Amino acid sequence: MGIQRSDRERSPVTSWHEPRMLYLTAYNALFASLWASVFIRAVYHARDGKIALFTATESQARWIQTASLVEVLHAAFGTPMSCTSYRASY
Amino acid sequence: MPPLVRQCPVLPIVPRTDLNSGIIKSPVSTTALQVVTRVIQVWMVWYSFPQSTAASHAYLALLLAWSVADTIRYLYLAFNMHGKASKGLVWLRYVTIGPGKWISTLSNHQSYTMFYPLYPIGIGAEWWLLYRTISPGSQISPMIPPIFYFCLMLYIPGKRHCMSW
Repeated sequence: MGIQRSDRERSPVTSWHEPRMLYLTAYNALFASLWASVFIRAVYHARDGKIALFTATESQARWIQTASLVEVLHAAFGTPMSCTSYRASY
Repeated sequence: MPPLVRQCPVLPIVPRTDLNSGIIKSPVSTTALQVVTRVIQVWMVWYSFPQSTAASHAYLALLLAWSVADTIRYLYLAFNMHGKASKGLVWLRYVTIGPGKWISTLSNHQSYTMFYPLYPIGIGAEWWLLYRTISPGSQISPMIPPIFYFCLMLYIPGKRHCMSW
């Protein structure tokens, strides 16, 4: 653990072009926009009544939340963005 | 109109025990705790008991708490990965999600998320929606109420665990 940590600390801030950085940037941007769309939809349908709100939002939010299970894999396999900072931000 | 209950899928209730009781203290379990409990919520509560869920205002509260917190969190992560989180974004993250604890050994300006003040809203709504499923759940199987009451109890150490990170 000690060795791993010092390795991580030494690793410089990685560049855009590194595949995992590209992947994580895309992942975070995608999920930011997905949750933003849930928010907009929720606000938009908030006045339509509870049943209509539920019908309009539930499956979308449910699948987005389910998709975020890959974050467990990110953490487990240390899909690293200089590793620690990505993990730590949970 | 959603059906009163759907066939209740047997979902992994066991993992939650480990995660919420805080036996495993690692970044993996912190991530897993938040993701897995939410996934359990959406399938075991929303999907399986649409009627009791839809009828509660807690559903909207939960939806807003999750969507606001996560939009900000993912945006922050996306920009911060490249050291480009603007002051406005950092501020937003702090006000909605909270500062968390500074981890001095890890890289600069990162912290564990505590979902301040959205966290209590989210956890309260999750708890309430799960509680509401017990009555329709008892019509499916007499085993459901004790299991779900057990899950409800797990939120208590779960909360302490999360807040104390």
